[in-house]
Parts: sequence; structure tokens; C-alpha cells
Amino acid sequence: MSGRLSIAKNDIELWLSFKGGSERALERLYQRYFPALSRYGYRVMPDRLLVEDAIQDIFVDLWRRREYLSEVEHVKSYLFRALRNQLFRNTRHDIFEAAEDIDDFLDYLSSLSTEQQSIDRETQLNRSQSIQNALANLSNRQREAVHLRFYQGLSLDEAAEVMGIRKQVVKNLLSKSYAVLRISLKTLISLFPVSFAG
Amino acid sequence: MKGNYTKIQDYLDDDSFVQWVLSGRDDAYWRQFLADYPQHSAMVRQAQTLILDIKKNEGADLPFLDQRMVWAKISANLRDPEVSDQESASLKWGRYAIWQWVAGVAIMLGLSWYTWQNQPGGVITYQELSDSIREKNELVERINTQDAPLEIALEDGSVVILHKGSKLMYPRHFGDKNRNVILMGEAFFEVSRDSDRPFYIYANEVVTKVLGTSFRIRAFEKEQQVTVQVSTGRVSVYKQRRINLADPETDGLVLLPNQEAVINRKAEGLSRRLVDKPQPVLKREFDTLPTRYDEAPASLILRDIETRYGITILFNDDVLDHCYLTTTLKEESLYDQLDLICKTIGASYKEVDGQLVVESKGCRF
Repeated sequence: MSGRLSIAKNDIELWLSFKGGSERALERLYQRYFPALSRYGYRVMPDRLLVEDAIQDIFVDLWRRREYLSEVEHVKSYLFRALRNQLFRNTRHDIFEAAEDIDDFLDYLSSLSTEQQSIDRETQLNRSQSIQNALANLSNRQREAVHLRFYQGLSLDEAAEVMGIRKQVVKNLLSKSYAVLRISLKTLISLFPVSFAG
Repeated sequence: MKGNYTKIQDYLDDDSFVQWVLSGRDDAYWRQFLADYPQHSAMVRQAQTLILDIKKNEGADLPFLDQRMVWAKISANLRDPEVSDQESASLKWGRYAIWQWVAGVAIMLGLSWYTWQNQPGGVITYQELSDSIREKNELVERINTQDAPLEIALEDGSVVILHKGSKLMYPRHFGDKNRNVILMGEAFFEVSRDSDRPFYIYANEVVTKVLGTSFRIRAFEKEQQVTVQVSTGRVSVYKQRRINLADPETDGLVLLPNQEAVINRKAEGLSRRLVDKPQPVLKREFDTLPTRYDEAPASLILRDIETRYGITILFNDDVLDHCYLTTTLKEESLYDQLDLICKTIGASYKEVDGQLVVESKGCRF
């Protein structure tokens, strides 16, 4: 839809020309990133209207503030971060955001409590279903980290920037996710033994 | 050096590796690596499989949102900076709101926004809500002045049980995109499922959005609070704000069975908690659950309670798997059941954001 022309220009060029007042450049960035943003937004807050509104908000806001924006290195993670902030600003309901300890505690509980259930359930399901169930067993923040890293393909630094946490915390979230996924997928993985040491 | 990688996680934490698997970047490098370190090929293959499995399945439940429509709204905002603030507010409001029913929003409402803005406390009344939609639609208003609850059947098959001293207003025919009603007072709703036309209930400042489910709303004009209690399904609850505030949208919450939202009409925000007397959900499944447990692990009993009430109970399985008890759970309320279990095994529980967290040091002595 956005065609080959927009691929010809890279993110940074588009960003600069949008900052210079090109509405067309903003639209190309929008067309390029709407699918990724909408999927990430929905993963963070599963409500279509809220996500669509937040995407609308950030692009309108970018346009209004274009003269004051700095140059950015990673347009994609900048937009993700903006969307995440906007979603929480628009809803302001996530008490776990504010309380990291409870969050970590719940992460911990969810990795423990889902293990046994999963093992019982997974045996008769097919591979895709097993993986989707295993993913659904992750805590919200674990799933967000997994989504950014392996679905959206962000680097550890970019994921940390988007989630507003330290890189090490992202690594920890991912590492706990592997533990949940590993146990959930035990029957599959046992076909070819895995050395998830540590 | 990558030759030192000893476990799959080392690969999963390597940005270049993940990029290679996902998009083929750095391909030459990783091919060379595999040639140099053939003993790593099994680990590499497993890491690849895991990444591709996640990539393939992580998005399975994610919907496609309306790219064109959202751009149309953004674009309308960019073109005309003079009216853009109002426009964005009205476009957004239109979605949660009755404003879809009104033509010429900006001009007509200019005056009423002004008056609303100047009212103290950010309160919206039944009268204001109904005035704003009366223009365009043929509306039906039902008032229950009797002591007995009044049952109202809507054209879409939904049923509303209206309590004494309460009013409900609804259009004779619902629109194509949504089903909007206005409530003053207290009512129980059983909304028939229609995922293409969400059902919105406007009650004072609170907007409740559902696809199909049953729940109770209490919103009397004279009371300071509005409550929404969910019996089955999921509902979203928003708070309407003044349109010209810096942040014109809504605060939102998703409620699950046996959770309620309590909205203080003048203060900011919404809070979620469990209802006072949680009721069992899913009658069919619940019938098959045992009522008597003999030397059963506490974790098992808690899982059954979780199923019966549709409330998430968080606890550490490792610990509670080793706490055994014999008990009969029948007519007691949820909290009586939990008190009994916790007392028996020396645990405690607390409510956190509409969920229950059971804490125990365990029963191995």
C-alpha cells in the first residue's frame, strides 16, 4: 500500500524530513509502523479503541511538537516508547507499573504456579497451541519483553528503552520467560534435549 | 567470544544472533561461525527453533486495527490546526459516546461544552446526557416508580432489570455500530452478544462498554460513587472527562467476574476490587467440582475455588502442594472458605487489584 517509494527512504531520512514540515514523511512513517505499533499496543493493553486512540494521539502530538523534537537513532523504538507512555497516560490504571516489587513478585508467582498446570495440559495439544498456551502463561511484563525481542525484533537495549527499565531487568524478564516456556514445552523439547543451563 | 557460549540463553541474549534468525542479517558471519564451531550447531538449531516458534505464535491472537481510519483522524487534525484540539476531542469522544448521534458537533456543542466546563467538580448528569442525544433519535424512556424491579427487553435481545427509582433511556432502534443506553439509578444488565456492536451504558460520568455479558451498575445522581459489578464475562469501564481538559480521554479498567469498579464521581480515577460477596460462575463446570476433600493438597482446593468463582488466586504451588487438609466446602461464602483453609494451614490472604494472593510459609516442618 505505502509502496516501494517509501522503502527507498530510510527511517532517519523520513524523520528529518517530517521534522522539516513534510506531512507526507509523517504519513510514510505512519504507514510503515502502524502494523507493528498496533500489535505491540494491543499486547500491552488489549483494547482496540484504546490502542487506536493512543496511536492517533502520538502522531498528532509528534506533528505538533516536530520543531522541538530531537533527532532519534531508532525511530521504531522511539515510537514504541511513545505509544507505551501514551497508553498508560490515557488509562492510568496499572497499579503494578508503579509498584515494581509487587510486579516482580507476581512475575515470580506466575512462573511458579503455571508450571504444573501446563505440563498436564500440553501433552495432547499440537505444537502451535502448546506454544501459544505457554506464551499466555507468561506474566504481562514477561510477555511484553518476549514480544519486543522476538516478535518485533528489538535489541536488548531498545527493548529496555521502550519499557523504561534497565537492560539487565529485560534480561531477567526474558530469562524467567524461558523457564516458563521451557517447562510448558517440555514434551516438545524432549524430542531433542536442550541444555538450558542456569 | 561467541565460541565460549555454553547455553542456549547465551544465543537468545545475543542481538546479532536474534536478528540473523528473524531477518537474515549478519548471515555471512553466522555461517562462518557455524563452520568454525561445528560442535555448537545443535545449540544454535535449538535457539533458532525457539525464536522462530515464538515469532510465529506470539502474534496469533493480535487483531488488525483500522489503519486507514486512524490515519483519517490524524490527518484531519494536522490539516486544520485552528480547530484541531476540539476536533480531536470530538472524534475521540464520538467513539465512546453519544456524539455519534449528533450532527454538526463542533458548532452545536460549543456552547454546552462551555457551560459544562464551568460547572464545578466535573459531574455529568442524566439530563445532560439525554439532552445531547434527544435531537436526532426517537428515544424511549422508562422509569420504575414501583417497589418491584422492572424488566425491560431491548430490541437486540438484551434484558435490563431496572430497580426502584431508576430511569433508563434508549433509542427505539439501535445503530449499526453500537448500542447506546443511558442509566440513572441502579440496574442489572444481561447484554446479548454482538461483537460488531458494542453495548455502551452511560451513567453519570461513567461509560461501561461490553460485548455480551451480565453485570450491575449503580449510579444515582445524588450519590458520590458509581459502582459496576460483573457477574459473567468481561466489561470495560471508562470515566468521561471534561472535553477541554488537557488530557481529554478516559481512564479505563477491565473488569472480570466478581470484580467491581468503584468510581468516585469527583475525584480522579477508578479502582478495582472484589465484590463483597463473590458468587460462583460457570455453573456447569462448578457442578463437577468436588465439595469434599480428603487429605487434598491446598493448592488443588484453591484451584477449584478459582474455577468456581472466576477469581485469580495467586500462590506458590511448591509450598501449598505440601499442605494437606480434609474439609467440606458447600454453602459457605468465598471468604469463609478461604478463612477456613488459611486457618488450617497457617496461611494468610490479601486482595490485590481484584485478585487474591495467598501467602504461606508451607507445611513441611
